[in-house]
Amino acid sequence: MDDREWSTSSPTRKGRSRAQALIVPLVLALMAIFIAAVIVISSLLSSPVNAVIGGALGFCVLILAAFLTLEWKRYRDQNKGYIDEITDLNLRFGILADAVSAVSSTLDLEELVENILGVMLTLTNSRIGVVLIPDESGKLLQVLSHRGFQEKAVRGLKIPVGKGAVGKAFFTGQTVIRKNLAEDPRAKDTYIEGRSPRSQIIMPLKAKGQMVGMAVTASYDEHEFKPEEVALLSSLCHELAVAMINVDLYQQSQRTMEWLADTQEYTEHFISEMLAGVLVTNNEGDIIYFNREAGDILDIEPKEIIGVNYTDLTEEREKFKPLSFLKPILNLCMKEDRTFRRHELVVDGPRGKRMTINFSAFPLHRAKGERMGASIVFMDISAIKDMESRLRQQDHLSILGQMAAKIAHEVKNPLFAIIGLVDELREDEGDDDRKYLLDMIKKEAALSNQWISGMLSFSKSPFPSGDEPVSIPLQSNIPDLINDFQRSNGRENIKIIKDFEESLPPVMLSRDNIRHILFNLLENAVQAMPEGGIITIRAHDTGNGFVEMRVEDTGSGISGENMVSIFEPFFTTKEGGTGLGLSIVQKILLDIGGDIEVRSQEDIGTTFILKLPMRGVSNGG
Amino acid sequence: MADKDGAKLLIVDDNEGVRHLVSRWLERAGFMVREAKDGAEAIEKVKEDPPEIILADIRMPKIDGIELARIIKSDYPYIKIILMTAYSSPQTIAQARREGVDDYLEKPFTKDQVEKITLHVLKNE
Repeated sequence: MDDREWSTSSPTRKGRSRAQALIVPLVLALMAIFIAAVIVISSLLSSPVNAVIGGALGFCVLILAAFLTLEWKRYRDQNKGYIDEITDLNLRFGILADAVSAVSSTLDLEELVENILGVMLTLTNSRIGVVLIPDESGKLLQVLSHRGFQEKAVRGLKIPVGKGAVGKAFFTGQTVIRKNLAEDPRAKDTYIEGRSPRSQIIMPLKAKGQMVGMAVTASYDEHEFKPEEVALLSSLCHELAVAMINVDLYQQSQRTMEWLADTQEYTEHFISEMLAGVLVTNNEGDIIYFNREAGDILDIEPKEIIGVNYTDLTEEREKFKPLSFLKPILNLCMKEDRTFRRHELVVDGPRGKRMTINFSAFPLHRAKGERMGASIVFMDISAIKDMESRLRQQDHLSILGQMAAKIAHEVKNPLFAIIGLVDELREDEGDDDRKYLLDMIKKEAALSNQWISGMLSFSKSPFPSGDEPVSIPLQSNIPDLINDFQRSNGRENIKIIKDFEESLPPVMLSRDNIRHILFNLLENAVQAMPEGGIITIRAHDTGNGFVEMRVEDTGSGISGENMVSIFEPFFTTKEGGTGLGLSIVQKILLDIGGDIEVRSQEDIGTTFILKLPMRGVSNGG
Repeated sequence: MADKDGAKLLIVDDNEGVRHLVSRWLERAGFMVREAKDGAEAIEKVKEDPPEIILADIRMPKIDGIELARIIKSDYPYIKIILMTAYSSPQTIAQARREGVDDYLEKPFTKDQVEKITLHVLKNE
């Protein structure tokens, strides 16, 4: 647009063609007069007036020479202005080319504006210039770059849109040229040179129908803003505006890219660190994501699984066996678009461990609805399930305990009467046979009483009156208990070994309880080794407030089905057993904040692992 | 110090067998024994003829052993009370002591044990 205006409005080219039109016919006319004169004079040479004619001819030649000289000089002068103008235009086009090149070569807005402002000052022969852009509100203009101003005068300067010459020009989008400017009383504090500018041009930075700012240059002299200069400035401002919009777009896209990169990084970090296994496949079914937790749950390195197709996760491939449960789920997601929310599954995990897996699975879709793969998020909730089952058992025990207390009381009272009254009868009885029968009644009643007493232990506080928990040094206490046990229940063919860590810290337990626990476990061990064997009692500090004590035997072991019920009340495999021994041991330990678990292998032996707290729990009654 | 002979006892238990057994043992030991089948009857019998010692079961319908002890001790602070229990939590025992119960016997007990404790309580009046 500017090029076109520029070419049509150029006065210099018109000047050049006028000069050409004037000079050529003039020279031709003079040449014609001269040749005609020579022909006329040559025909008259023989006459006596030759000398007079010769003199007149010389005069004519002189006049002609003078005329030609003047005409040449005029032509040369005219030509010189033209050459200067060409040179000047070349210079200006060079500046414009440099400016355009600057515009296209940098994406740093401030550097760009700085450069263009410099070019504008050169073009307008000015020493003051400023570029302003609207702030976020769009209601105020703020300084982006400036020349010739004192820093303090422009720092934080805000010009309201629609106010003052610049504000109004921004509002209207018009170029404003101001001449004969009045003396500025603040000039001393505003401009570096401390004096008032005399002329000014205010130009909008406008492109693609968008006002992006204002450029102002001001001169200390009365600058003539020639039309071509204005056109050039306008073209420069347009280029600057385009560049500013581009830079803004570029910066926006940069910010978006950074945001996307950050988001991706956050997401990846979040997924990789989350405490759930995550597996993602692409639409071909290839596993493209498998996080660390997934690897931990299924005991496989993520890198071993990335790139594998989910259809290859079969039991036939030993390495993928623990992952084989994923295949049918992913199949349903991929083939039937099925979604699963918090489903539970019991699977054979790594090393044949039974695991309860909680999972959610879903096909992945792009925004347009097209499927791009499937994902499964899963957690190993075996420990939670185990805890739930323990809590249920504890709850069960607690209810049973309360019931047992009531029943026991009601049954013990008449049993006491039966035993006592039978005793009374027996005392007066003379018949031996009847005495024997009375003894049998008493014995049976006593057995019932013993069974009831065992059941009562459930409802008892772990610390019966006078048996509060004390600090028990196992190092010295256990050997005494082992001796007591061997005196009453020991057998020749059974050896009991104590293997304790040195400087074992004491545990908080009542003396009755530690005795009950140890005797019960030793009794079980002895019964599991009818042919004899070794019982090893080990203990060490776990470092987290507990002493772990293990009671190991080399007996017959416990079968898988019995293992499940071993701590259940009234479960027994012994003839005449109450099935309460281990239940009571477990109850005591759970009540004091400890725990017990059992590991056993048939024909190899059984190990009871006890967690004994170093600090007691408060006696809750 | 009261003489064992002629010392009056009141046995309170809702279980007839227990009541009869304990009465029989203590009668044979030389005490003068009466029986009551519950707390209310015990209070009546105390009003008629206050005994030196009451042996009562803790767990009885309506007025239990501890409640009985509280009532008796407020009107007859000199009457000694021994509670008998088939099973009691430490808290129940502690509460009984607060109500002024002099001693307690855990069932099953023997003739000798009940005689010994009764004598002990009687002599420490």
